[in-house]
Amino acid sequence: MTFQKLGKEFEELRNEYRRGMPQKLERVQKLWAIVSTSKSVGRPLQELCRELHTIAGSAGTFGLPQLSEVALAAETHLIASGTVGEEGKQKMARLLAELKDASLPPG
Amino acid sequence: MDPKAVYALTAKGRSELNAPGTSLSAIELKLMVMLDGKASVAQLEVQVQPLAPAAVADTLEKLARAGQIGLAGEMSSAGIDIVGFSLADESAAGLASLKKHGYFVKIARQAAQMRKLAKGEKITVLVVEDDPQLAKLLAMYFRMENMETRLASSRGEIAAALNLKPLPDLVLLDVVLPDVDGFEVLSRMRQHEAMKNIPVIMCTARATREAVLEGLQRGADGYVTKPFDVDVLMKAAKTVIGLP
Repeated sequence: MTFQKLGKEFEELRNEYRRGMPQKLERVQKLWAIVSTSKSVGRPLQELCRELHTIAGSAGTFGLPQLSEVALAAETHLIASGTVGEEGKQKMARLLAELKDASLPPG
Repeated sequence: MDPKAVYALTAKGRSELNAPGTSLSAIELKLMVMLDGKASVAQLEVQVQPLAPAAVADTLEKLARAGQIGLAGEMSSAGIDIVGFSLADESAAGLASLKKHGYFVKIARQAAQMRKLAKGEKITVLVVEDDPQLAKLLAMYFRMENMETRLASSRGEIAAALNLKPLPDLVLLDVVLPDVDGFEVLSRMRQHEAMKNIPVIMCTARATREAVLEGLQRGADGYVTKPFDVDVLMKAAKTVIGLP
């Protein structure tokens, strides 16, 4: 494989990654809707943490460092206090809005 | 060694810890991770149990002689009293920073022996990663290095991939997976006669000092936090396999 081909493949993968992001964020929003309104949230909360964790781990490598940072902040907040109290919920909602902004292409 | 003595990494030590290609032993690495910040001898002795205090002291002296760590002050009976600067303040700032940004590292221990490949021989890497695009990206880069990859993202796929012959020459292991914890996989590999010596690099967004220590404690040869620079990860992979 040549470096030129590698560059092209990377570009394709990055585009594939970015195309899939709205779907991932929609899933995150749906899980948050369940977590923020239900009393028993064990499994959805776990899934939400994992989704955010995965985005935090991969976005930076695909050229979206801001998205990684916000996803990490949201995951950390969620683990610490995301479902406790109105303030915690509002902060989580803000972070999810930031997450959406960070996923948009620049400009 | 004075249990109140407080040590910290030197610039040389920090550079060694983050250069993917360290020749430090497992215990040296653990102490260096703990000292990335500052800690007293007494604190280290508690944290690295069951290692004997004498072994901790020997290792610290060795690291100090090598210029990897240096004396940063001492703890007084009234609390923390540091010569030249305040541990309390630095500690608080460090903790706040860790909470905000995580503890990002790229650690890779040099293989004990260099690996010489026979003509036509290829290295096989098992990539355990549940993000499909990231898994593809890694496979692409390993292919570029003339290495074969197997991909797995769940408990069943990991078991199936490890049952194939030949055994992988390297396992790149995520921690947070859908139905299994990567640390548990690592521990099982280290208990398995045929797999205990396979180099393993934890490659994960689990970026806390505790997680890094847990990975090293359970026998990982490297720990690279996500998001990673692919070139750094490739260098780490070659280092733990023993390739130039």
